[in-house]
Amino acid sequence: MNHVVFGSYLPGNSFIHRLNPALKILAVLLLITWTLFANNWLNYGLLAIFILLQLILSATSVKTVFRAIRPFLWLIMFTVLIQILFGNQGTIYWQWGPIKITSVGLEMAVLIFIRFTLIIIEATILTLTTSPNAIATGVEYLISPLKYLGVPVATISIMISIALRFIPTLVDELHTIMNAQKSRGVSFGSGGIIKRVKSICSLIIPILVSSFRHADNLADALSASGYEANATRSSYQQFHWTIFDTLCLVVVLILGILVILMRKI
Amino acid sequence: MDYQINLNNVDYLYAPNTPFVHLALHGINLKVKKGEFLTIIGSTGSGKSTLIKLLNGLQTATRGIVEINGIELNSKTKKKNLQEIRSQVGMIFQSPEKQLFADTVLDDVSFGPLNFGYSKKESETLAKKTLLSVGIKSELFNRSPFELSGGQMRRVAIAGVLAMQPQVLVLDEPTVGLDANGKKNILELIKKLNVKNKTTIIMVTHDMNVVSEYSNRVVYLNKGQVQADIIPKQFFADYQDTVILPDAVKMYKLLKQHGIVLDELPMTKNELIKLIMQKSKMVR
Repeated sequence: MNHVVFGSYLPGNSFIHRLNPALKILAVLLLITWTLFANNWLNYGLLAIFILLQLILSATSVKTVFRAIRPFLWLIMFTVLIQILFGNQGTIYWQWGPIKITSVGLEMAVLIFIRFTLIIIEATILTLTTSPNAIATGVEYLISPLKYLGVPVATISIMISIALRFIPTLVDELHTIMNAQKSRGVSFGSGGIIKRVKSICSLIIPILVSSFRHADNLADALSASGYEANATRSSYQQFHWTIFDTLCLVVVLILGILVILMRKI
Repeated sequence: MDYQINLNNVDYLYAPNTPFVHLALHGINLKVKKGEFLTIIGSTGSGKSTLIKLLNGLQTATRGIVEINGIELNSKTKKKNLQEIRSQVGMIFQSPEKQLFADTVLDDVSFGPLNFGYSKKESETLAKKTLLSVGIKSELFNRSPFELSGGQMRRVAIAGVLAMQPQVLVLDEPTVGLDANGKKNILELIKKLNVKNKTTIIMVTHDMNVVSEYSNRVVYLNKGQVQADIIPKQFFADYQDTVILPDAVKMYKLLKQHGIVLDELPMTKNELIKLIMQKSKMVR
């Protein structure tokens, strides 16, 4: 893998690395929910401090965090801009037709920016500290109650792990195909619209063909090694629920109560 | 002296500023003249693929100078010059059939020439000519490339690069996964381009028979450094004990064990036969 980006895993042995993946997924979902509940400086500040604590506990550098946010920067900026230009409460600082910049609009824009950033960092901490396999195991554990409703939990879990497993493979292949097409004179991201569509096609079609081939081969390999979709199976990687996991869950829940109590109504 | 390719003290740092950082190439010096047939060998991870990607600007050197046809390739090279170099240096990657995408065989092969500014008509003429030269018959021209056999797909993909009429052809293991016949066809085609059109060939290979039978120079990479850069005959004499030997050299060694010492180290089967004939005449 070439770059550390959103969604990639950095092996390590920090406190957060060692937590149970099911707890981490649950905690991230809860924290994202708390972030959506937060609506003033006080509870955003509390969440930010908590996330800073997680960064320290997971030994993640600020640089890595910035790299993770970078791909989303345009989306964030766009949303912020919309907030600034179309917020219509509070003192008006500047106006041009229906577009005006107001004090409340500006405040909302900053809060939206913080909200986005916090959510992305939260998700990044999960993927940075949890291997794809562990995430799949965690999801399987969390959705396991659904098997009493007839949901094929084990199959869903193996689907998730296969999908995650093939991301780097397909990314590598995409790089190779990109290089091959560049060598044939394609310069991606330039030229007229028709030329651009054609250059993108020269990537998408080969990668689609290739993923179908991978799927076929993998299905054959699974059948050949006697894989049965609904068999009960044990797992090589065992995750145990420790006192630390319980402690973390309690802390996250208390945090949620605090955030809700601090809400501005 | 004019060199077509000139690499001067080149380093390549893979994934700098990340935990995956790795010095893939170190202090590479490589000068190639027009019309050479050069093979690059070395174990997996020795830097072969990284080296060839420098030759048409898919990657740029971390340190040192890469010059192709007198144009220096680095991160500041203008897009126009880069396109110019890419039209001069054709690059055939491993399993090139993976890059096929167009509706018809003809469209796919015309894609390269079209990108490099040939008109639609010129591109099609070039594509047809090239397809015939790689042994794809005209009744296949309007078929989808995905309906072809593996060997045919490989040849169409190679034609897609050859149709650009490059002066230098860089190939990364072009015969992997082909049957004996398909392999021979492709190697003969490359040899023909080298001899007839004076196309410079740079080929990454693991097959020592290809090194001895086809190339006139071999570059042996080890841990990102050039360990040897000599003619195959000298190479297999010097490295008899470290690399897997081509059949003709193996035969030479076997004969030697049985007390028959040939006058020279043979590189091809024909040379071997000739040397054995000479020896037997002398005995008689």
